[in-house]
Amino acid sequence: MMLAWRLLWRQRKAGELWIMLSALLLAVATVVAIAIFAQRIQSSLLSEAGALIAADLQVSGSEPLPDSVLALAERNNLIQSQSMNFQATLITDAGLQLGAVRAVDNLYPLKGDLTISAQPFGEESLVQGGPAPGELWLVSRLFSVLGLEPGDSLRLGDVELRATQAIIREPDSAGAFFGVNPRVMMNLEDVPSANIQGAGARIRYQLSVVGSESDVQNFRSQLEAQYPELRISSPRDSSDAIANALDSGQRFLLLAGSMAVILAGVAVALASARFGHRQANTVAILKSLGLGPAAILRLYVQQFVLMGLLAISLGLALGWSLHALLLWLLRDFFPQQIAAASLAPLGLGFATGWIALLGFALPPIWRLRQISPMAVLRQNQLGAKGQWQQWLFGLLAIIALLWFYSRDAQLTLYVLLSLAVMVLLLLLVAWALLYLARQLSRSSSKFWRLGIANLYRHRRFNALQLVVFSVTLMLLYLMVLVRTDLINSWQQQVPDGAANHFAFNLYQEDLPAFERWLDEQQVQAQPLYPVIRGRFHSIAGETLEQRTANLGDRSGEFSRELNLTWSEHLAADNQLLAGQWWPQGYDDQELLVSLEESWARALNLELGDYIEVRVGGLIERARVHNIRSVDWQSFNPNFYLIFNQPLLDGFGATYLTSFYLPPEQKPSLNELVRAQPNVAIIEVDAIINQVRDIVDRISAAIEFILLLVLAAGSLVLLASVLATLDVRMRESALLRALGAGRALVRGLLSIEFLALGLLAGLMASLGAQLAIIALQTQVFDLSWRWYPSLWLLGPMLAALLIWGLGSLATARVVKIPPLWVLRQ
Amino acid sequence: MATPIIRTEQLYHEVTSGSERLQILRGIDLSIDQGTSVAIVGASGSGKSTLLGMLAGLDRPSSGTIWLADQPISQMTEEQRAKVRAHNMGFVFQNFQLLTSLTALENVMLPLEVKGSQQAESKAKEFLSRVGLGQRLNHYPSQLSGGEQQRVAIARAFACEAPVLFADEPTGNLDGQTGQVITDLLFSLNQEQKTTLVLVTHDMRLASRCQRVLTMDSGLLKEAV
Repeated sequence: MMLAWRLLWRQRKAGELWIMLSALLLAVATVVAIAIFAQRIQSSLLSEAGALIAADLQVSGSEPLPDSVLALAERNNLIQSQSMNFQATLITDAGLQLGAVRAVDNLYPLKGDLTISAQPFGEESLVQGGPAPGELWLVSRLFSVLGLEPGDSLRLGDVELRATQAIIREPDSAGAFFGVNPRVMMNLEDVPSANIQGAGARIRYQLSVVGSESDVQNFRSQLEAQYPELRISSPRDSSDAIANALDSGQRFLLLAGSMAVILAGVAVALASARFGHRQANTVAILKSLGLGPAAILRLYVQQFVLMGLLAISLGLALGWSLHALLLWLLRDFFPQQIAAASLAPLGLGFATGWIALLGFALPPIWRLRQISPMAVLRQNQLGAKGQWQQWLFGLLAIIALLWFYSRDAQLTLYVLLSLAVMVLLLLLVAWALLYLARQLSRSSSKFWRLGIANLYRHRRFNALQLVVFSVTLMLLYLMVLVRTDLINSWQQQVPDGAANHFAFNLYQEDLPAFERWLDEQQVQAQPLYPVIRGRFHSIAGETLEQRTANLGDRSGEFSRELNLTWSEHLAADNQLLAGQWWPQGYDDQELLVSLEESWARALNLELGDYIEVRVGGLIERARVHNIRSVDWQSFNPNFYLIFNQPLLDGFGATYLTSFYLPPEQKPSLNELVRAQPNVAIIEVDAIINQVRDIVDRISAAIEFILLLVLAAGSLVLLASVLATLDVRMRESALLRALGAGRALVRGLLSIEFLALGLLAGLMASLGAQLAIIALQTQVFDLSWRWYPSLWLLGPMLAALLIWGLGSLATARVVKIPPLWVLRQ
Repeated sequence: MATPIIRTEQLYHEVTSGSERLQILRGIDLSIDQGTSVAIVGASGSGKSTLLGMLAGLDRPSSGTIWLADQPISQMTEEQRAKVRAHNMGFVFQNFQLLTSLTALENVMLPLEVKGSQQAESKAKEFLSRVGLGQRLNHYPSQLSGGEQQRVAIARAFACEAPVLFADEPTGNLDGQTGQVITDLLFSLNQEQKTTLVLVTHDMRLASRCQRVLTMDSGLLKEAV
């Protein structure tokens, strides 16, 4: 071990050792930084998303929750807050109003912000904990509906409470939208004296908890096993948009991380191949001095272990610092309290380092032991050529790294297959392009002719280098494109001006006044949809129970009361998947129904099947005329069932719509509800802002991860340029010794690198375009498209990048005396 | 009577180059006594470097036997031969073969360390002083002239105090004057250490300073009279 250490230490001035070390160090650092960063951001976002349900997890049931559930939460170290939800009538001298009451304890909300105001629609203030006993808080519009001033008393059940504050925003308002009465909040302690429990009211008992990710997860799985009747919901369940962004974000980070891992591995491979090559002569000398093959292997393995320990521990530290730096740079985007990191990413970095060392660096070293000591007498015996075992080892290492990193067999297979196809194709194309370039250059200037001739002379090596450049650039371009696409598609989910308020419970006679108010506010609303409540009676000749018998928990979705509507037009965010939309004019035609796709699938309904719905004591029979998809994330009114003509002749229908109201016009809602107390307004601007906020944060995280991948890619490019440095140095020195000026040598090198970059960029653009089509359609559920700018900018950027890196790395070539190089 | 330290019997070696088979050594019988100096001369491609490599155990012959200090090294594995080399041989090469990333001192210390010697550094310093490089211990090969590099190589070869020293064209890369200095150094140290010296050269002046001169011609060895 001592000899190994001494030799290693004495060779500290040898360049290849440093490339090797830095490649390994960066491989480990990149992986660790990405993994820790991604992990912490992910848990933070998830934890932030907890604001949507005011907790990390909610458990609810129609009976008081058993003490054992509370004890279970206690055992899992979770902070608990209890609440009850029920409908109750609020009574004042001015009138009655049914309210959606939430009775909370002092800990509510465990996550997110509860905002109240001393005056309806007044100045907002944040508050921790719900109303004190004896107090009641109500949404602003209820004050006018009930003719209340802050401080006035009102009756709820058997208890008299004082309306002290207006509720402006509650974190978990995203729950159920329709059929919900205006929010009222009271203290849990007042519930017994209100005595509503005895009145047969439907009460939901709810437990909210917060805690560490693993504790919450444990609690959840124990609950699911022991109390199947309880309803459990997490932030993911509350918003498709957020679940979607979190999922795609996670997949992107995984993909980007895998790319970084592969790139870093390739950098290690390139550097160690060069290290091995440069060590060949040393090995021959050491053998002549009396070291046998086993001793040589031992010596180098020990050197590698030492180097590995050094590079990996430095890499772990660097990766940790890098992620801390990222968090610091992004401090405005992320919350102050960010989730703590686990040790797992460090383990990942540690394993990555050793796998890279074993798979990529060991093979060239393994071969060193076979070098004949005769090489000290005959230099030509040094050329131990690359062997297939080396490639096999590298491939195994890539598989191991990918699998280890993603734990996703499908992703590993996809990436491997596409890389394999890519490399084979690229090798073919590279040879052809080099040949073509040589043919073309015959008729061009001296510079180009010589430069291309140089490329062609080392075509075997250059083809390989071209492949490394192309694949690296392809991965980088791909990441840039996917990121842009993802971020765009997320932002489109909640476009500026998306509806942020729902108005419902509008009667036919309210419509003129409501439309007048919309005009006054210059607000563009979605169409007004009539709504009648009804239930399924039969489906394709079967009862609902028969039809939904095998749907398990989902059957409840179909047995509850449904919002039924009718319309002449297909909504803009709906798409027909089967059948035709009906022509305008209802008249005396047959009753037809349009079905949302997930329901059509669940109920196994096809075009031409009949369904029956019970509406207001009558049974209406309708034929399924078309099936459509619905964008549930659009914040527009959407329906599972749409009929072609009014049910019950439209009798008793109420109307609903959604619209965008700019924040500064919010006080006008006051006028609306004061003038039309029937109208119920749901403000979804809070949840829209929250969705947008989270999307922005994931986007920012992705941008920075991309930077890290770019760094790993640049390292590969640099290692690859450095791999040919010896040959280029020697050739340039020879040219200069023969009388070529610095300008000529520099020019030749520039042309080589520019041509290499241009070819690599072209192939990378082709590869990236093909790969992104696959990714968009298979992984991210986006639609594919062409990228003309990629084809233009891709080759140009690549040429500049490779030229820049190459010129930088070979700057020394034209500066040092030729004799020095030739003597080495 | 002096005992032979190197002995060969019917040494044959052939290599295949493409479809062609080349006979490099064609039945060499040779005996070299301990403490003597032997030069092997011959034209380029006559097989003299191959023979040197075989005698030093750097490669194995196609057939025949080589004994070094009564050990049949031609029958040994590479591992065993390496051990024999470590304890019995020193080398001086035409192109010096110093490790470019090590200083002069570190280069000389290397074989001593391989053998596990405790006094590697003091011994290396001593021999570097004896070849006149006591002031340049920490210089790298690229900072030394060709003659100086070869002196480091000579210091490295003698520092091990091995009984046999193999030299392959030790002055081949040097100008006449420097070559002369190196030759003097080589022979004076050889005399002091009582080493057996086997050198390959096509320089007749260098060869003539050896006690025996053997001529290699098309794979056959003849003793010059």
